[in-house]
Amino acid sequence: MPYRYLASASPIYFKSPKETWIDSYQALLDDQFENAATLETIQEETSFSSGSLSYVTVRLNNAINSETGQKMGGDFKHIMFQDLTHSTGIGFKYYFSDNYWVTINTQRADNLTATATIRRCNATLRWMGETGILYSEPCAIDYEVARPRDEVGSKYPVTPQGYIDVYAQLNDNTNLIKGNQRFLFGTPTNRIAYKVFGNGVRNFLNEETEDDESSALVRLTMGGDFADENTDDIANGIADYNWDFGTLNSGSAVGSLYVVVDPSESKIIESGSAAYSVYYYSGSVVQSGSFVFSVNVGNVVPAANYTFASLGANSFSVVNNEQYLEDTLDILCSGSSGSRLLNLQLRGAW
Amino acid sequence: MTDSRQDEYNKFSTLSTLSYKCIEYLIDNEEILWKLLKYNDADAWQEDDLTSAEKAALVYDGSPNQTDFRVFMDVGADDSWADEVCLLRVSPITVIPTNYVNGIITMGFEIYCHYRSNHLSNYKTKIDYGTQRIIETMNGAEISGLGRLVFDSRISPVCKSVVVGTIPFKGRATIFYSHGLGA
Repeated sequence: MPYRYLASASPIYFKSPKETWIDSYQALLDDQFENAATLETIQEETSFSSGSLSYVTVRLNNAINSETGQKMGGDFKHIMFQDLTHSTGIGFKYYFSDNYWVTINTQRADNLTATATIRRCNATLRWMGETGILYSEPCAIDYEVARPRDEVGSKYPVTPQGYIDVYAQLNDNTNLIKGNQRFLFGTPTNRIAYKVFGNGVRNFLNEETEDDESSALVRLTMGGDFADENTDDIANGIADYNWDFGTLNSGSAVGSLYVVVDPSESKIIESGSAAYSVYYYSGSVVQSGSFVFSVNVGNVVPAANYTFASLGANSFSVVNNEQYLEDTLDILCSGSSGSRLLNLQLRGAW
Repeated sequence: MTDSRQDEYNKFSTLSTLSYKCIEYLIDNEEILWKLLKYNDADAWQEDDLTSAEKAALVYDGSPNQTDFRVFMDVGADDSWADEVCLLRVSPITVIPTNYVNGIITMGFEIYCHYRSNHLSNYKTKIDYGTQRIIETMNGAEISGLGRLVFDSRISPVCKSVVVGTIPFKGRATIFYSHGLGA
């Protein structure tokens, strides 16, 4: 019987020609990968959008514009990994040379080697979420400010114009960015404000055609806006940081204890009332301790505008008899382990 | 030093509160308009009435994102609208000093609606139905600090309701008149 022993041969002989080529190429890479002056150890995200970094050795080359064949500037790099199956893709972040870099292109479909074209992040998006959480994300802003001219003639007052495109990894944080959201860039002493256009969030270039969760790089198109030293944190570059969200500030620390007030809503609508509970917290655990509640000395809200009542050791109530917009009603919560001043707003119809 | 002569002149002291007072009056005395503002579907007009708190929550309170709200006390802003909503803007349009003591004022009630949410299931449009509700509620209403609002072109030719806005957000601006602006 011909080929009697063929079926019992080593599986290596059953590889397809393609597999053989790939394995041979991987072997060549393993043998020659470190034989280059472009070898560098950089940091990469351990998994997409994880934020944690680990070291990886790559070949780091200048990027070439695929359309013109010209070298791109130093803000663009081409990285090649030794392992052909190394995980990379659009939006992946890297860190080296004191900069974050974000992947803007890959050639995974037509290139045997795992490669990526990355762009240096030349700025940071900073913003505060609706619940007061601060977010930041490295981003790459295009060099040119398009049409950076003041709009004169058709409008008065004259207003700033100019458009920029901002690229960043699309992750759970940047997915929160909406149209009309403002950002500050520039130096701490000379902030420049931009606002995202209504439909300026390009988050729909899917990495997999039918998977709307697969987009990994967001482009924000923004137009010239206005910096405001009252509502923006100019020094730290956070737009709308000082905006009154109508909530009481988070509990102030007294040693390891926090004085936490519930509810956190600081507004009381006219003719409405609110009862507040006040407790010490250590972490997320309620602690024992009582408070004495009183209208703070120096309060300027007329007494007829509100009715204040202490409801015991850990709660008080306020009735908004009539709106008072000139100042807040300040309630002192005085306790043996620390005190806290609450600034309540006696609002009108809203 | 007090200047008794200067004190006689009209200070228009209530001018800056008029938008607030008019919206407050609508909260207390109108139901259907608020449903047209809150709900986008064709059955908005037959939803349950809103509570005062629900109505108040639709009024812009100065938060960063204006597009979370539907009622405003000014004539415009530069935030762009990506939702097919209905908006109301209430603000003074003209202030005319009749003499050095008294003044007249026109108040504008502008209702805008995205064309895709404009048509209701009762064969009315939000723009026309909302405008009619505004006229029904505000015509002849005594507003604190403003006097009696009237929609009567014999008293003032500025009283009218005219088409405003641009597609996709068209609307109507309805102008009321009051001559009670003194002090």
